[in-house]
Amino acid sequence: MARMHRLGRLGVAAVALIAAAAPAHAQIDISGEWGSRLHEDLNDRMEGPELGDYTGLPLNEAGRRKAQTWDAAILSSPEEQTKPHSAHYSMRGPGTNLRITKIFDRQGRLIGYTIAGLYGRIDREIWLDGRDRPSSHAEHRWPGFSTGVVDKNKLIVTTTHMKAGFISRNGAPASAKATMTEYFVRHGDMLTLTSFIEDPAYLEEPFVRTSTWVLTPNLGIDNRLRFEATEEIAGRPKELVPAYPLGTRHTEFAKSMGLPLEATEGGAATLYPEFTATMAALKRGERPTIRTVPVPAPHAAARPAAEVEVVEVRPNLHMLVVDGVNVAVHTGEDGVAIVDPGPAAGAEKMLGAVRRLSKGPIRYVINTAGDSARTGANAAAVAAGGPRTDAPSSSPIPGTVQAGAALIAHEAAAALIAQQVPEPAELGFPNVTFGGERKDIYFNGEAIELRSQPSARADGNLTAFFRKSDVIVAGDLIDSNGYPVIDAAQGGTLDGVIRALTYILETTVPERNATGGTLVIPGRGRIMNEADVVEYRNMLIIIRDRIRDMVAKGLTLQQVRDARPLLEYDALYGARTGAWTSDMFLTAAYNENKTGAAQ
Amino acid sequence: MKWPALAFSLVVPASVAVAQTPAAPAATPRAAANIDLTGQWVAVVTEDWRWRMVTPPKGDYSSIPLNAEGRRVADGWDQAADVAAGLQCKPYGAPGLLRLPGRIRLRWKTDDTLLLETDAGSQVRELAFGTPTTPAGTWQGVSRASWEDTRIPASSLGIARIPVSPPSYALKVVTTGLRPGYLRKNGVPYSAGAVLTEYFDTLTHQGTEWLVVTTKVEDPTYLVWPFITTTHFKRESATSRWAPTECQATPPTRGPLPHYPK
Repeated sequence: MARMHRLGRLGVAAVALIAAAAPAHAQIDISGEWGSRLHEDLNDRMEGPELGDYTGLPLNEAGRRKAQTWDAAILSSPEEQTKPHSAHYSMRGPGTNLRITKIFDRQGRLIGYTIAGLYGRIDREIWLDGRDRPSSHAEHRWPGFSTGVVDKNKLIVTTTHMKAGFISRNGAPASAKATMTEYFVRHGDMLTLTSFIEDPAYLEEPFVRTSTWVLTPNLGIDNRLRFEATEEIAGRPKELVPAYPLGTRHTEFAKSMGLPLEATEGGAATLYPEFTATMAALKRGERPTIRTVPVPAPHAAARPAAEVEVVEVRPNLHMLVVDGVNVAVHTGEDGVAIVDPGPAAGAEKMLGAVRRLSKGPIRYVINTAGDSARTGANAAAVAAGGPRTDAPSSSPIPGTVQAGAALIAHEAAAALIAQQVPEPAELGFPNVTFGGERKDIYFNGEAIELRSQPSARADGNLTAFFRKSDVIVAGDLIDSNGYPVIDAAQGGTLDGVIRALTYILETTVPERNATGGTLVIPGRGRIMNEADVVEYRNMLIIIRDRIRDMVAKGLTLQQVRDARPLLEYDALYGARTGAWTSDMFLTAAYNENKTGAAQ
Repeated sequence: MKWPALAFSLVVPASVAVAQTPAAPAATPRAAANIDLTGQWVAVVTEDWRWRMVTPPKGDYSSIPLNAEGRRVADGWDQAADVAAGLQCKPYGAPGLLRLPGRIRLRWKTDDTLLLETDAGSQVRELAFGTPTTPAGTWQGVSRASWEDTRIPASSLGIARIPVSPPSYALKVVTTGLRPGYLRKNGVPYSAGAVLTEYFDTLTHQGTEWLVVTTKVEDPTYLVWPFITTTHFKRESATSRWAPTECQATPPTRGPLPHYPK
């Protein structure tokens, strides 16, 4: 009888086990090893697409321009050699075998997946636990940030925070503003992915691709963890950024395939069945109208958040976003250092945020430039450091104080600040200045290297390199959402900004494959690493070189405007209104080159 | 009944043998549909553009896992001979048809038969949930449809299948009895023995409905392994762009590709 009871319990338990084994909602499980099938777009995905083959891509005019001026010689630069593929492309890339693994929390709940095997081992993570998306000021990464939800038989994944990349390996671009939505569905041993990329900067309509993998246990995946940059060109100039000139149209592919050139240049209209008739008309020598979607106008600058946003860069180094201006706050046993306290109107909330990070004394306030958006809160920050008293030169605090905060700036910036602070004795005026290339501080257990960046936004710019934290505060040299301000009246030059950015690139070291490593806090916008600075600096060099060429040919400013040298960058960095418009930037660059040419 | 037998009977029949909650009176396939495939859909050609939007050059069978015989046949393609023989519909057979630029329409012919029509080549295929009535040896072959079996294999659970299957959200179609035709318009062949398996999925992205067809062609005559592609279509609410054409033998964009000696 007892045995019967035991068996009875066993039977009931077995039934219960079966019932609980798979929840009804878990209709899709994408884990496993999935073999790629390159039965679509093989040429593009393996050896790479031909220059000028933008077929199947809904590029807008800006995206087309970016693709047509892209020169593969750019890949010889050390920073480009080790780039992995961004998430816009990585799932479609060459021979992408996948190893998808489940992530469980400590209670055994499924909270996500990892996808390994992508080119450059930029493994993706897909979070299913409903976690918040990172701040818009957080660093973008090659795989982006992905969250997923299961809906019926599909896993729907949304990805943001991707780095600028491409949708085809011949320069067809994908911007860092793009978002990607993926729908995974499984049919037996086949995994099908439908992905949509929305990119307001470069695409006329969402770019849809579908790919299928086959379950393949014991699959080999790409395990190359580290790409090695090599010196491909001896004596390569630091600022060499190869690019095709404005007006380039690559005709070779169209000729070799017997296609009308217009058919190979992408665009939404070329994706639909009607385009076959358009091609026939083009072949007959007619000029049919091809529907296009205008490139979006530069967006209005987002209204800064009223509250201070605090973004952790390193455990002891935070970025505060105060009325749209980035403020770096370094904390530790010695106290607090603030780089660029920000605008005067935000002083109180800035200090409130600082105090939430650390109660330690404010010992240093550093100005990377002399403009009021960065220095307006100087006095408040210094005052918060406590009373300052003169000290002998042996004081542990450099300069003339033994208590309170030292306010440090380059002397050229101090001259600008003097225009805003009538009395040099006021707290908002730097009491520690330097005129040379560099000033060093050692604080909170790390070296801080202040490097003069002359004639950049204005004269007197500097960068602050926190060596141990491996973070560079770039100030107004970079705005991830705008062109750099060039204050020519105060000695600013585009060349100076480019030189400064090149210095930053000589200092940054990625952890591996253009990922992580040294981080850069820009004056405005999101946290960057080397790859982002490369993208930004190269944009400036390309624009400068275009304008320089046109100036050399004797074009007037209006003729330069008409050539639209900013076309493919305006949706990312441009502004039509506000304190610093695209036209102001273009005019400054034109005048600088005009002056240079005259000399 | 002895307890061990009872326990076994509780476990096994509920899972391995039956594996489903006892169904209500059998609904028709149409009534059982959890997705709406009906309507007009337009192909958005973002993939394989150079092989789909035009007739590619002879010998361009890149991406297709042809065996030696397949390559030999593809290299011998003669479009003029096809036209002369009245075989210009060879690229419009079921295995290649949905890769052509065009529109498709799906509608229920009966409660257990879906009709798939294309404007390219004016083709019609019956997707029969019951016994197919279409003849073999045609461009569209004989298609057997079913809502995808969502039962989780016993091997995935270790003990048995779950007792309740989740709803099915995909249509599976297996097509045989095909008249030999082309996977691409430039004469890349499939044989009469080819088996075409398709899964039809729908999804809604930002208010737009999409139809995604995952296709597997198995053909030991010409392929070294299954040829798998996925094709996507966008729903069209207006039907004005439906433009039926005859099977067309559009010349290749250029002369044959040179092949390098292997």
